[in-house]
Amino acid sequence: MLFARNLLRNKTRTVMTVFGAAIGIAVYVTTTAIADDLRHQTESVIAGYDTEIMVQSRRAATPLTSIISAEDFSALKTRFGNNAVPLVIGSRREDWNSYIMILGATPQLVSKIGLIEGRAPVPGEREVMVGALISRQYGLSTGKYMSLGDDHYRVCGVYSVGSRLLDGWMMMDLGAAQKLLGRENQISLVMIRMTGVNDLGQLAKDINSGFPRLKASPAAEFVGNIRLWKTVDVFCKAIGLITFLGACLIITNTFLMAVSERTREIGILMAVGWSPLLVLRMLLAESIALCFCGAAVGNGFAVLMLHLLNKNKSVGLGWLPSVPSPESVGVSFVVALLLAFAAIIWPAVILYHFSPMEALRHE
Amino acid sequence: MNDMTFPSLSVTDIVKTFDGGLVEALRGITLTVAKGEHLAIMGPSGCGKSTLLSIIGALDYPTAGKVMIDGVELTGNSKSCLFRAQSLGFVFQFHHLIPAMTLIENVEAPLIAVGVPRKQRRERAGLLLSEVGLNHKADSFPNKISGGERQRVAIARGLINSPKLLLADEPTGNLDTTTGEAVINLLLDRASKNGSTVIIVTHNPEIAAKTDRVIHMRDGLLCC
Repeated sequence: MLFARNLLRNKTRTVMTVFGAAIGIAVYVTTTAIADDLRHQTESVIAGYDTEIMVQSRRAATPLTSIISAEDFSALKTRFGNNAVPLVIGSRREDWNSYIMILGATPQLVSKIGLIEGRAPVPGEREVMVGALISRQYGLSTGKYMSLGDDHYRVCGVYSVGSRLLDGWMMMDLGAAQKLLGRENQISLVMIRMTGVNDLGQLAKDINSGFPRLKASPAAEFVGNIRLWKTVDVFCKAIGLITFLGACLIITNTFLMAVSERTREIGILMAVGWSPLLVLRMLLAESIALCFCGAAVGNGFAVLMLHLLNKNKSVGLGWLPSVPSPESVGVSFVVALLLAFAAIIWPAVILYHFSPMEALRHE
Repeated sequence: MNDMTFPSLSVTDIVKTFDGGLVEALRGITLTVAKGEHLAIMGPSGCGKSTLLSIIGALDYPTAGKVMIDGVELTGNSKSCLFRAQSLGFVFQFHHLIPAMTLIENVEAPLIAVGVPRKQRRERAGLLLSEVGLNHKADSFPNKISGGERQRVAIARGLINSPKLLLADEPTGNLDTTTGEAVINLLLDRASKNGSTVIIVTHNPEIAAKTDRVIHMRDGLLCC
């Protein structure tokens, strides 16, 4: 394998180049894996509750910052009846967990949650239902107590919905959650069930025109419409582009050095008949091998980074994937291939102007 | 043996200048070499021997003049790489083997350029390495063999494509007398069996004496 032998001629430089590419790819894979996973989980949570329309306050960047007044909810309730289901979402910082997510819902919604032990919270009681992930992490089984704010809450049940994000949260009755989160007479979201409606986009538009302080979206589009996700998308693309360009510069530099060091060899190959394209093919094989090694090591780094981030309790439970998705890994190898081609553009220009005679005289 | 009536190589009024015409390396060389002929070019250092050889070998362009090999004009030929791979063989003063390639890979390198399948390349390269007595070291790297052996590998590489024209630029210049003689005998012997025309640039009159014809150069001109 000529390309492997050429790469191994300067092992230190090859290893450093692989690591340079790997760091870029690790950053790219980690950011996209986190963003994609969070989006996918949020979508699956919404999809799991058979809802057609999601409503949040118009100016909210995320559901967490959404505030729907009792007046607006009451008007929605008048129009949609029991098909309008309120939710309150918030986070708290406690001594035992610096970022605990709390979801308050009506018994109508809580009854749909899959319990693995215990029962749903009774309205008016200081009871909480914890997700399987949080239960496992803190040993919170049914009957145990935990402190939330100034009060103690009894764990009445443990649920698992299959979403890591939601299984890292806790749920309580809507009124109790509003009180705990300091959101009395306010809710975060309204889920509207409207089976049989064909044009959900039109229905969302109707709600938006009738409720100027609210923003309704078909459930399938809700996550994509959240402003935070748009910001995250742009952020990920920017990170991806920067790391791509950085890795590209590192690999290009390596190949410029390789062409410079191997000037006479390239001259010999061209003297015996190799065309610049054939020499470039040899360099491309080296570039692809380097970039694929970078992608493999980079994915390893990404797994390590996700593991370390998951260990960090301040991040909160269930927010991050423990491994990159197969899609992220696949995309990283496609990116590596693009990188391999991009990195030899400049060396290719040099080769195109190569004179075998001058190369043979090169000292 | 040599068909002196039909030229293998025809060089007409070749001029080569450098630095915008300030340096005249070749000042109107005209030369004809017959098919199968072995020609030696002698002359002092800097007289333009290697420059002439590089122009004949399509490694460099002349400032003016024309080079034809077997009726094909080389000057301005955009496919000079392919032409070199198909029709020319080179043996340089320093073996110029690729250090990352094994001996057999070095020998077969010109065939890669013309797209010969790997199996055939290996067979031909193995055969040539046998003929130069190095088949047992086919998978060794150039840094593991002696200078004489490297030059034998370079000869095998120069002959792998059965070239019409074999160009050797001081092929023994870096070897001791005994090794040098063995190498030049091998080169001429293999080229004769191949029917290749040979042009050797040398300072050594003993080597020149082994060829069919000797020409001398001085200050960019043929002097006899």
